[in-house]
Amino acid sequence: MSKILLIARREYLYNLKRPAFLFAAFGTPVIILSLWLLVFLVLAPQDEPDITEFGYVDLADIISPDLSLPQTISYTFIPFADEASAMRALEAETIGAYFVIPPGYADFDALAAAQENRASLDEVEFGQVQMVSYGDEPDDLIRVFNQFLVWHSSHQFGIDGMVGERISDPVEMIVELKDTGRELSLDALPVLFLLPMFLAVIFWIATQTTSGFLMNGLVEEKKNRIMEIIITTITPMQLLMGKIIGLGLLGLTQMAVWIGLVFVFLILGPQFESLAFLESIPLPFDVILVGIVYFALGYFLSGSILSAIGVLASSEQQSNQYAALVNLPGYLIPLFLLTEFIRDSNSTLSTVLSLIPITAPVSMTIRVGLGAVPLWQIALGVLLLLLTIFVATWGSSKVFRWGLLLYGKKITPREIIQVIRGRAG
Amino acid sequence: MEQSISVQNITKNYGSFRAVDQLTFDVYRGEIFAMLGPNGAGKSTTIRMILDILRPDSGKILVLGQHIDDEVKNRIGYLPEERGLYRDVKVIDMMTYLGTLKGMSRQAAHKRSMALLEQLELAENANSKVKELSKGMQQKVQFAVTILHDPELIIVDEPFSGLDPVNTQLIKAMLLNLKDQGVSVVMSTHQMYQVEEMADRLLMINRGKQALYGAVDEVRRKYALHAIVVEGQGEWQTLPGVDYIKKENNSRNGQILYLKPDATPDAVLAAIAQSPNHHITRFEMAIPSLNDIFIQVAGERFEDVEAEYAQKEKTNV
Repeated sequence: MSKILLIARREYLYNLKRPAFLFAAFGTPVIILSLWLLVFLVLAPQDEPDITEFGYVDLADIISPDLSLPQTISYTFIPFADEASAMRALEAETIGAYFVIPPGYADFDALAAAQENRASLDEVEFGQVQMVSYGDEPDDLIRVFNQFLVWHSSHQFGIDGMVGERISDPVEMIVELKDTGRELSLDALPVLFLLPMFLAVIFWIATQTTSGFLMNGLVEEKKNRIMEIIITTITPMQLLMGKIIGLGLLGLTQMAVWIGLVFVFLILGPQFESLAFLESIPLPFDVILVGIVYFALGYFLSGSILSAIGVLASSEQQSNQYAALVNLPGYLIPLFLLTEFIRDSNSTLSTVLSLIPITAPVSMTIRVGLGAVPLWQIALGVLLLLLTIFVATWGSSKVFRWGLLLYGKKITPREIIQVIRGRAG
Repeated sequence: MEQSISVQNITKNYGSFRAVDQLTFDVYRGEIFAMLGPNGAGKSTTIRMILDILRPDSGKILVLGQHIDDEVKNRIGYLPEERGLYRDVKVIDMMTYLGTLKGMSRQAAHKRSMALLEQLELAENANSKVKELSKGMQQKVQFAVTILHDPELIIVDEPFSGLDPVNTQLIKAMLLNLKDQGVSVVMSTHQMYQVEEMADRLLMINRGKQALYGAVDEVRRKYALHAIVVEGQGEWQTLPGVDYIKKENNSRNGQILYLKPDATPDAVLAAIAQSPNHHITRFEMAIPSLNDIFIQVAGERFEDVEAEYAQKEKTNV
């Protein structure tokens, strides 16, 4: 056992210092986050207008200038007598845009008449408010002006502005998913399947890096012929386990760095005004937990298969291609069938995919995010993964033992099967 | 005598090719045991079976009195024919790591590594990366790795290949010194003169089978020609007891004097001593070359077997 740990320790420390790892673990996320911050903090403020004052020309006589307004109407709207004066102010940049409310806007008799003809409001061809700007108005200007108009229209009919708002936009949604007990606002729904995607992507990168190290290490040790010394010191199984564990921890280190950076981002982000929305992103810890367990097991599975391949591969390049081939299906299949998970996360297909060991890590994480997965299925998935890992490691260690001393020979699949069944080597 | 290795009737097939065929031999404690044979004879396969890298199809192997396991592996030092070290690592770090794998503590492995590097005149290179060392230095590091953990049994495959004469002498002295300390040494080689100089007993293998097995002195006696080799001045043909003369191969002035059946080397030496016309600078028993003995016992030439093997390797790859 202690020899396994010695190998694990060596693999971990040796690869930790490699530039390839340092770049993958720290460089990539730092670059991605820096780009994000650059976009949000440096580029975004340039769009932000200094002007918070906008004009309107009220030809419908619907605005009462002394009405007190709620703070959510964050812009100041200045009345202009006619379009020409508003235009001058716009050209002088004292206002950022102006609205023209036509006389027909408040012609409620005409509206009633239109309704008689069963026209919907979209079809009514009079009374549309016009906005004039240089196209650099803030994104929420129209929403705020809408609110401004609702308050004033409401006032005309003697209704409180807040009541008017509720009438005009009656549903404020909080979705409570009964089966998971998870409560979320509608905006946060994408997080539930974006999170598994995010986990899948970083696990993908982590496994590609570490399985690359695993296979390259084996190819190198074979090429260097140090393999013979190592396996007369420890058993192939110890070498295999030590490598998989050491590099697994390396992969986890990489993930921890990434997830840690995301947390830092989520915590520090809201300090900046333009990133305030980050605060409202809920972090479903059940998804993260299931994700980590499943992806870790998934890593062990691919690690045990890849080490057998690594020992048979004769070049680093060849081994990297195999690594991608072995790892890809587990990611691609669930992502291609993403719509199926969204349609019904408990359908037969979704359930089967989340139990098949190869596709389980991505599938199960998506399912847990989207709906309640019975606990027994989560447990069964783990059990099946463990079982497959056991079988794969056993088979691999046989191939491994046999392949260790093959230098540059071509190997047929038939020979490999014979080795696993104990007829050669 | 206590056995370090006991090999009984082992056979190993690679598909239809029989690499080792019913081989039986023992290695005793504190001896240098030589395994000889052309390339492809089955030496490395046999060593790999002793070390449990390969399993024999049949037969039994005991190492240090038992079936090989982790604990036994820690008591063996192995220098493979295919030399290999981690290239991108500091010499001292790599040695320490391999020492801990053999069950040593980090401190002990580090201390012993430094001592060995000192002994091998490599102390200055302890902090160099392996790939920065010359080929000969790497060979010495590899040898140091082999004996790092004070093994009771050392198995060295072609220990002198690629070494210059100075370093060959250094390693040879260290091996003899280990032998004196009671360490058993198994040495696989195809250099006959190394065997003559160092080995106590030998096993000659051809085509997986035992060709010759026994104490080196006995073998020498058994296969010694009824002849002597001399260098010096004088008409050797005129000496009493000399049947005919041949020039020694691979030697400048050596002459092989084949003796008549009733003559003895002692009598010839006495005759030379009494003759004012003869002066010798060298006088020794004529020992047949590896090839000669090999041809005698195997019925074919060493080179032919190796050439055939090389041809087969080529078509296999």
